[in-house]
Amino acid sequence: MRVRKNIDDENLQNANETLPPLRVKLNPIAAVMAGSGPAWMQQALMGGLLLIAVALPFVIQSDRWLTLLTIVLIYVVLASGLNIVVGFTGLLDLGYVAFYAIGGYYTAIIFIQVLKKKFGLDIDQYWWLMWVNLLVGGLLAAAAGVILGYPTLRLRGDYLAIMTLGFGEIVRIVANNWVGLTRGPSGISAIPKPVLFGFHFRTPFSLYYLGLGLALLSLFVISRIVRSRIGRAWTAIRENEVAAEAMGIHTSRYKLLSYATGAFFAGVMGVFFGHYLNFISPSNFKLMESFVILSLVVLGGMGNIAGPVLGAVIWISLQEWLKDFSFVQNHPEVRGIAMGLVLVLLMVFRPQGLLGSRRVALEMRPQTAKESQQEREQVSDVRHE
Amino acid sequence: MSATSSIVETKDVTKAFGGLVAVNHVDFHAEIGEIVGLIGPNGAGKTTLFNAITGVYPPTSGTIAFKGREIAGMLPSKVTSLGIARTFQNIRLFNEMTALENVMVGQHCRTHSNILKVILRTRGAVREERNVRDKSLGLLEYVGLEGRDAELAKNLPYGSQRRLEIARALATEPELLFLDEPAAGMNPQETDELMQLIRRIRDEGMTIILIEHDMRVVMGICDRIVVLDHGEKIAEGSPEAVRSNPKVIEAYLGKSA
Repeated sequence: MRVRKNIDDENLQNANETLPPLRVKLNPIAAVMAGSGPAWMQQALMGGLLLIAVALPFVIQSDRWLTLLTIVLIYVVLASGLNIVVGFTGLLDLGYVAFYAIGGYYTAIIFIQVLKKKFGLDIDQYWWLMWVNLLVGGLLAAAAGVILGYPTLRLRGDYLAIMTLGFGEIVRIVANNWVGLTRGPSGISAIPKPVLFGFHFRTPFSLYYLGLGLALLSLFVISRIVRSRIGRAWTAIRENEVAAEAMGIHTSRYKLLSYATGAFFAGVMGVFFGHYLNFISPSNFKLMESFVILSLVVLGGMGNIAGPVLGAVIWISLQEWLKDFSFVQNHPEVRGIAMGLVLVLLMVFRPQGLLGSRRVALEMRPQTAKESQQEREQVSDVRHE
Repeated sequence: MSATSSIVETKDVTKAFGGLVAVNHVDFHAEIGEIVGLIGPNGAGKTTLFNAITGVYPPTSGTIAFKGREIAGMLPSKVTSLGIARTFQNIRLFNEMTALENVMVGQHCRTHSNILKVILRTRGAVREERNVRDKSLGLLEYVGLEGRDAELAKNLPYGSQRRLEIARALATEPELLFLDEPAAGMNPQETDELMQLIRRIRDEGMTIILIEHDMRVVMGICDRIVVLDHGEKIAEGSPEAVRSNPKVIEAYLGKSA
C-alpha cells in the first residue's frame, strides 16, 4: 500500500507539471470570478460587483452610457443563455438570435397587432401583460428551442452549426415576409414602455434598473441550474456523450432541455428588448447578432458563469467607446475591423477566453465555510463507520 | 445452472455491421454473484457483445434478457437505470470534470430533482445533492482514490483513471457490472489491487462480466470463462478447462502445422 501511494504521488506531480502554464499564471481575481478560490473572496467580489452595478447610474449621469449599459445587460443575459448550450452542453448554436426574435415579436404582435389593431383596445390598460409576456415569451422561445433541437439531436459540430444557422435565418425571413403578422421590413412600432402599478419606466435610469433586475435574476437561475445534477448532466454530455448515456443520462432529453433553457432566456430578453426599444424589425435579429453573442461567450470564456458576463461588458462597451474617436466616426468600417482583430488576437494568445477554462463546481456547494466543515465531518463519520 | 438464476442471458444474439458479422448466434449468460471472463483474440466480437447488451446498439437478431426482462434495443441510459453499468476499453471519463463530479454523474439516474426544484433549492433537492456527494466520496474511497476528489479526471494517472471509471460505474448502483479490459496498461502491482477490488465488488453481491487480455487476471478471478472467436462462442467453462481446450489454443496460437 505504501509503495502504491508513492507511485501515485509521483504521477500526480508529473500531471501537475504538464498543466498549461496559462492556467497557473491565471490572475487571482479572474480565478475567483470564474468560481474557484476561497468562498469569502468570491462572495466579496460578487458583492462588490453587485454594488458597482447598482451604484453605477448615480455615478454615470450620461443617458447615452446608461442606455448603452442596459444594452450590455441584455447581451449579458443572451450570452449567458447561449453559454448553457455552447459552453456547458458543448452544442454549437449559430442561430441563437432566433429565440431572441421570437420573444420580441411575440410581445409586439400581442400588444400592437392583436390588442391595439385587431380589438382596438387601449393597450395602456394592459400594462401587466408585459410582465406575463416575459414569462410566456420565454416559454414560447423554449418550445421553439425544442422544435429546433429535435431534428438536430443526432448532429454535432459542423452539421449542427449549419442547421442552427438555417433555423436562425428561417425565423428572420419569416418575420421579414409575413407582412400581415409582422409588418415585414418596416417592423412593429409603438410597443409600450414597461409600466409597473402606475410607475412608468421611461428614463434610461429606471430602465437600467429593470434590466439589471432581469439580468441578476437570470444569472441567479442559470448558476443554480448549472450547479446541480442537471448542469452535471449537460457537462457530461459535452465531455463524452457515449459515456454520459452509459451512465444513465438520457442524452437526447438533456440536450433538448439545454436548448430549451438557453432559448428561454433569449425569449425573456426579446420581450424586454421590444418594450425597451418600443420598436422591433427583422434588422434587429440578423445573423450577425448570433455571431456577436457567440463571440461574447468565446471572448469571456466558455463553460463558466462569469465569462459571458465579462465578455458582454467589455465587448459592447468597447464597441460604443470606439465611436467617440473622430477617426472611427469618419471611417465607421474600422470598428468592425478593430473588433475582428481583438477576436483574432484573443484566439492566438488566449484561446480559452479571458477567464480561461476555469470551471464552476458542478455541485450545490454549502453556503459557508462552517457548513462545509460540518458536512465534511459528517461525511467522514459515515465513511469510517 | 437453471435459467432462472441467470441475471443476464442472451439467446442467439447476432450483430452484423453491413456484411461483417461481429457477433454470430451467441448464447451467453451470467449467474448472480458470478465473475465471468469474456476472452478471445482481437476482433473476436467481445466488445460488440458488451455493446449490444448495454444498449449501445441493438442486436441484429436474438434476445437479451436482464432479470427476465427483454432489454435488446433499449437506450443505454435506460439499461443503466435498470441496473447494468459498464466501463470502457478506451477510458471515457469526463475529462474536464473533477473525480468527484465524475462519480456524481453516475448517480444521475438514481436522483430525481427537476429543474424547478433545483432553481428553488428545495429541501429535497439539497438533501438529495448531499446524499449524492456523500455516496460519491465514499465510492472514491472504496476504489482507493480518497483525497483525489477535487482533481480533474484528465490529470489523474492512468491506473487511477481506470479505478475512477469503476467508481463511476458503481455509482449507478448496478447489479451487473461490465468491465472492458480493466487491467489494460496497468503494472503488476496495480493489477493485483484491481483483482482485489473486483473480488470485493463481487462479494457485495454484484455480478461481474469482464473482457481481459491479461491471462493472470482472467485465470485468477473468473469463475467461468467464455471464449469468442470470429464472433462465435468456441468454448465455455472453468479457467482450467478453457486453458486446456484445443479449440482455444488454436484460436490464440493458430493450427499447428
